Amino acid sequence: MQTRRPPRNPRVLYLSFFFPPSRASGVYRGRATANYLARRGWDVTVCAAPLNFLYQVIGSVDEQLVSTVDPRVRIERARLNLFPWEHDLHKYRRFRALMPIPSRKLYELRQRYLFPEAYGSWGRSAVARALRLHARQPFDAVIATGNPFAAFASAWLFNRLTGVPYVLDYRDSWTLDLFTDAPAYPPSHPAWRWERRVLSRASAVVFVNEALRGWHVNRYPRFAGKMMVVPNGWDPDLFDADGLAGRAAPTERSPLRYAYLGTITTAQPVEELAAAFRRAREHPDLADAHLSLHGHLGFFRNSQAELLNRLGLDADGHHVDDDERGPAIRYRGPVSKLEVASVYRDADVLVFLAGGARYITSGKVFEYMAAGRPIVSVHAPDIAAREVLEGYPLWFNANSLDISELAAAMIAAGKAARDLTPAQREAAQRHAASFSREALLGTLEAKLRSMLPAKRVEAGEYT
Amino acid sequence: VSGDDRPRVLVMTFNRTLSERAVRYAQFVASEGAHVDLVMADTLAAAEARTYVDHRVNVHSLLRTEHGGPITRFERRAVFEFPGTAQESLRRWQAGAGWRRPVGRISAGGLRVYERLALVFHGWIYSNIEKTFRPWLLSLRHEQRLAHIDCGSMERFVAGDISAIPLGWKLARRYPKILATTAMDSTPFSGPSPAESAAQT
Repeated sequence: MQTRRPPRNPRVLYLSFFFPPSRASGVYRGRATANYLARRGWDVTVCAAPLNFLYQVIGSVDEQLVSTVDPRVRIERARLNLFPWEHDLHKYRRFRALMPIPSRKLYELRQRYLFPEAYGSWGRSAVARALRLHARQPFDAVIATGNPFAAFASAWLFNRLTGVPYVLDYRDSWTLDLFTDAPAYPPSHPAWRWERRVLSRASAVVFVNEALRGWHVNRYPRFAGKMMVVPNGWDPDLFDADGLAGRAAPTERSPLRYAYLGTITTAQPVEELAAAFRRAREHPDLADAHLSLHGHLGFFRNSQAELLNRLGLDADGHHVDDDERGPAIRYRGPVSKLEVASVYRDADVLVFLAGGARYITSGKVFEYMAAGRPIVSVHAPDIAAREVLEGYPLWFNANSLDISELAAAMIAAGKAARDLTPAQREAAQRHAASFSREALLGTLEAKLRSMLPAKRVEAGEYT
Repeated sequence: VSGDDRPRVLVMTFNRTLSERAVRYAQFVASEGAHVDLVMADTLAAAEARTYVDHRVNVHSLLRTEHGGPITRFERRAVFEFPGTAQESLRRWQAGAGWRRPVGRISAGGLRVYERLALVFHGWIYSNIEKTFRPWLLSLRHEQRLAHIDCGSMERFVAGDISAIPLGWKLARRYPKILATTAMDSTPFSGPSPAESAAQT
């Protein structure tokens, strides 16, 4: 007599190179997805970057983030060939050290013929690891998030070898340059072949905004039917929005505090921001207002001086035109995760400064909304973040990078901050609540459920 | 030995085309107060590098000229000089008895084939072999040529381009406690960034 096995949790393999303790910007989506699926009854196995890469090569880690990962999530770390990142000559092997040119040639050939990305070795190692795990206890679905896009190739290869369906999560764009809105590679580049290949076998393809989905639909109309949008969101477990709600609106006499929080990059309209704020300060309501900039200045040390200069700040981060009213703009440096809440709490108006254009949403816009403050936009008019901010009742958008119009939006946002009522703030936070991860990831989970084999679902094999 | 207590840095760059990045890095490190020795492949490259740096960078060369080795000389003669010389001799020889003309024409044809094959050999085989082994061959010459530099007192060795890796690696093995890197990193030579300054205040 055949005995019926007890129902089990569906198993998902999550190929997410950047995962805690990494503190790369893409980590939050991966962390939230893994946690959400674990809470919804999935057995989640994450295949992530090796720790030596995170600690020794990029050095961008936040150990506290590890504790925010659901303990039911199993983390596997596949190997990565550190060839392009290894600078320490003590660690070079004899062949690479004495024959550096053929050694590099071999590495380049691997890139050209296996996978056109420096993370290709991680992808291959991830597949090997996944196959071993699959042999012991089979996976029911795979999610791959890029970048790096070796994760997509791994999901494709795993699917070819095992038939397990997969979802591609375009956290970032692969073949579209988000800052120039142009293709990122020449037409003959193997990335195009690979993208078509991985899309062809995917069960679903997820993008972070409609603009990105639209670009890919135009590029690959055959696969349009499986392309969907799961926006980024904010993480209630990392960001205590309720704790920010209690602060009273600024009084008539207290100076207005404008704040920007996030990395400031050369792609952002920083001159326009500085000029518009100076112009806005000419208005009597904003006479003693100040703008604090919190975050890293660029991704590279070399970009700091240039950015300070473009902001009209001196080497100490003070505005060069400061007068007796005190500093108009002040660069306050990076903020630790623990201090983020205090930055939002102390701000009356949040300045949403964003670079790029149509395809960029920017992750910080979600936290901005959750903070329930007036938000003034300083970015190109057709940016993808509009999709998210439309409907936010405290959004002040100049819809242009014209200095006068930006200044007017800043003044209007300042007035709104002074007149802010608890009801208005509540309405703003209600809008933000629809962008919490919990609210957004349901679509993805439903898609994964729909990919489970119908026969097994009907036979009650899954919990 | 410089005799001062400034940090000492050895920068090496041997690519055939001058690596401006490496040379400018040497200048940058010197301007930050370090004692810098910049090692180039030969005197010609050293002279070119001197146009980018000031007196604070000590420029050295591994070889007097890269083209003076026996293999290079032989290859140059066999590929570029021999066909011309041989044709000239053939022309003179043909000028004699009439029966020499047809023999000369056949020989001239043979020489033209030789010339083409020699150029193919030079472009496809010799150049690639030379390119492959050149970094390693250069690293063999450092014993005599860099004897006057006190490598043991360096703070770091910097291989400024791919051709300098073998020598950088050999120095790294000889002096395991000294930082040896391909990264042209400015951090140890500059003060805290504005971001760090602001974070500390």
